[in-house]
Amino acid sequence: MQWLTDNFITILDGVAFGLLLFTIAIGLSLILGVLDVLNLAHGALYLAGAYLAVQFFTGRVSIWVFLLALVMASVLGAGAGAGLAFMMRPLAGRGHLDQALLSLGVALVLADLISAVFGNDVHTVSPPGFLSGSPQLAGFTYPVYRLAVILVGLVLALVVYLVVERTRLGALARATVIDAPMVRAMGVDTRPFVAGIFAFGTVLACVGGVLGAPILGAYPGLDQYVLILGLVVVVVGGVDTVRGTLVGALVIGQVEVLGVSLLPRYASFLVFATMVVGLLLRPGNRMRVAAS
Amino acid sequence: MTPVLEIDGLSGSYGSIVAVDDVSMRVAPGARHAVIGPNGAGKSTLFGLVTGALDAGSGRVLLDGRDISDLPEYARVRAGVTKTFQQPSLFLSLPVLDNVALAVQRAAGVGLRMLRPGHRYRNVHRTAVDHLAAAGLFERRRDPAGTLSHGERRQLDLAVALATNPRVLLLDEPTAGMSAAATAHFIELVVALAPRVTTVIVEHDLDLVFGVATHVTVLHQGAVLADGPPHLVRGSATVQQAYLGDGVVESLFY
Amino acid sequence: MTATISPARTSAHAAVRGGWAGRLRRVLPVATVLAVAVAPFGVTPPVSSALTRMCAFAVLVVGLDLLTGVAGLPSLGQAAPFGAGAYAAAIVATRLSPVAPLQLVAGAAAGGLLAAVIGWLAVRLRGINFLMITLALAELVHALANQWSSLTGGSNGLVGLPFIRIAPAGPPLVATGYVLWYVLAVSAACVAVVVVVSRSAFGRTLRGIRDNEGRMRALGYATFWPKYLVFCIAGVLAGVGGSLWVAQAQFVSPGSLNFEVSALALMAVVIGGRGTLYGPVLGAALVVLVRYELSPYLAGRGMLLLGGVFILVVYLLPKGLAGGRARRSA
Repeated sequence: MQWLTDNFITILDGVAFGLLLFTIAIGLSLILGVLDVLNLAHGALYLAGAYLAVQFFTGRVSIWVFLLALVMASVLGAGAGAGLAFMMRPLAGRGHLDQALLSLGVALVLADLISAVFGNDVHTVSPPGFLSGSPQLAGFTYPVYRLAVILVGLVLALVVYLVVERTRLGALARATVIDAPMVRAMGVDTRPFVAGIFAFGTVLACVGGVLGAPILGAYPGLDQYVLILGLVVVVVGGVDTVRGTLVGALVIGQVEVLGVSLLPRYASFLVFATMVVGLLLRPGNRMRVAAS
Repeated sequence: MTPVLEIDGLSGSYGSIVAVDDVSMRVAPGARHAVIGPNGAGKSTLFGLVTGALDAGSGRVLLDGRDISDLPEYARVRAGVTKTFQQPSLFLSLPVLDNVALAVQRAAGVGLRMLRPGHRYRNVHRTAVDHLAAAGLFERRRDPAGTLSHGERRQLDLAVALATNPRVLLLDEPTAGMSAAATAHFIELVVALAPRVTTVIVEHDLDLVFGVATHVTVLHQGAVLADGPPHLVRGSATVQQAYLGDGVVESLFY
Repeated sequence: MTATISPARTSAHAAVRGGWAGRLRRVLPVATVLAVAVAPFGVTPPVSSALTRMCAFAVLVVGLDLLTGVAGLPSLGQAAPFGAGAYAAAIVATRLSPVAPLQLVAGAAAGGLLAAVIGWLAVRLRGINFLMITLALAELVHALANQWSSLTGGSNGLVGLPFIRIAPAGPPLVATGYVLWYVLAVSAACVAVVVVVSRSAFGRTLRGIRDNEGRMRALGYATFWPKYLVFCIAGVLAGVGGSLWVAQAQFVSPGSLNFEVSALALMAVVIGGRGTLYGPVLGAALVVLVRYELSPYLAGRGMLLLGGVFILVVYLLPKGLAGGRARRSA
């Protein structure tokens, strides 16, 4: 118990980071689970959102500027998603590897473009004015922004859960995960559906970038960091349920933050060790070698 | 006489759907054993369970009296049980010859050899060519398997299965979509296989079945409905009813 | 009926193959090696160094092509054994001996060992899952290189490696031309080995697994072992490539095994032509050229150009620059 109190701040940081990871990972998970496409450009899209925050969050940042940044990130993300879906279409018959390769090419091009425009410096971003500061919280001081991220993350998880479980789009998505050819045979026009799923995922990546900028900053290479962690969450949490991704994200977020804080020398191992453990413990779902 | 293949209480399900329900069957050596039944009776699933492609919930499979139920698929194939696929399952980018050679080289135990070029294994090469010639595909041996017509792919599929040197060959609807000439050729082939190779055939072509089979098992909804020599199965009222339902039972087999 | 076949002599295909296309295919590799071998006499040392880098990278890439193009296991993690080989060679260079063959063996062993450990788990997965795992595990190794400062020098890496020698008593190879010859000899040998393996019965097994692993199991293959074996071979080759890279660069850092290296290698394979072996070798040269050599002239935007080319290739030339011909029987 003492340990918990001593490390309460870190644990809370872990929750905030975990929910931020959820924002990233759920998009990746949906695109992979529903469309069977590994979107390697996901990290680059996060990075785009982060640099968007770099541009917007300078000087006095009111709530309107903040919301504008989020809206712009959504538009950017949606456009990118629809664009990616459009680019993927001719490759649909050629298998998932080619689609993943295409996303890799896009990721590399996008990351380099961002580098060309913004340079190679490491940018730190301050939280917007109305969310800055660290009030007293039961004897601890804790940054408001991280609490905001936790709140937004939870709301987002709820929204995604409701969309996936309660809407027609979500029902179609779940059906496609189970039996894609059947869904097509039912006459569902897959093109807007595919674009929709893609856009949903990429919007989350970009918005995640804006939200995460005050926490993670913006710099070349961040896209790879985010992509890797997103992949680890997908491996650990699976692609079949929103809850799985949420649990996976919270676990990985916690492991990463606690690891860096308590065992900095071994931080990276802990995350990947968790992934290996997750792989070994859940042989089902995507990781199962199917007997056909 | 020990049956070459014995299935004992084999069951398998897809989730909560029981596809094969406590099936027991004995296949005599050198037999041409047909498995028939209405669609959805579980015939293909049964084959999958026998070769280990699918996991059985319960039951045993014995080959020449030896229990192979715990062996993974590849080990059962090495022991001598091979099946064909309903849709030809080939190596489409590889030349036709290589498709057969893959089966032959594994049977010859040289699948992991890295030094000599593949075609220099004379025995493997010659055996593969012989199998191809028997299937009438010699002329196409260098073409990628993907360029074959559907009928040719079926023949190749069969040649590949035979090239594994099976004791028991499970043929899953081998003549589906075949022309009369091809079917006749196929019948000759199957007849010529005995007694070296025992065949178990899932078929819908009942004329073929009752012309060729030495023993017939009828499956219905995953369970064995009838089992015996063709003439007895043919006359069974329960079998006719299974095929036709409770309506007017017209003469199905004559 | 017995059909005695001499594979190269009886069909119409063989006649065509024996024509100019076939002769070109046989002559081109030899011509390339010769051209590179005489290059030091005609080009400046920086160009020789660039060619050396291309040869070293080509070993990594050809191993990846065997793994991905021939066996169908798409890996985005070959930077790990490459880096392991580079670090092993560098550690031998700084602590043990500047004898290049020794560093080579160390590099090969390090790459192979790492692949043996990773592959035991990774090879049980297929397709995209396999890709994800190799990516993640390579990043783990990258993190390891950064953390284990006592061994790897941490984020600074290991610098100031001595010039390599071919024999313990031999002279240090200071001239870039000599280093190029050493690296060229080793990389040509490696490519030759991969070609031999690819044409063997084992190569046929790998292609069978790539095309239809389920059917391979149905033919009696325990497919885990060929996959594991080729993964380890690719690891050894990557390790060799790493040691060759270090022989030229005389320096290694965690940047030698980051995600970008894995991505560049895969791009080289795809641009060159998956499964064609020679295509990816050329792809390796192209990738090194654009990403490293020409980058200063492209305002540092080498990756942008390469990414664009890569996207075009994925769209328009899915079989890569060298692909498009039906394979002859192995």
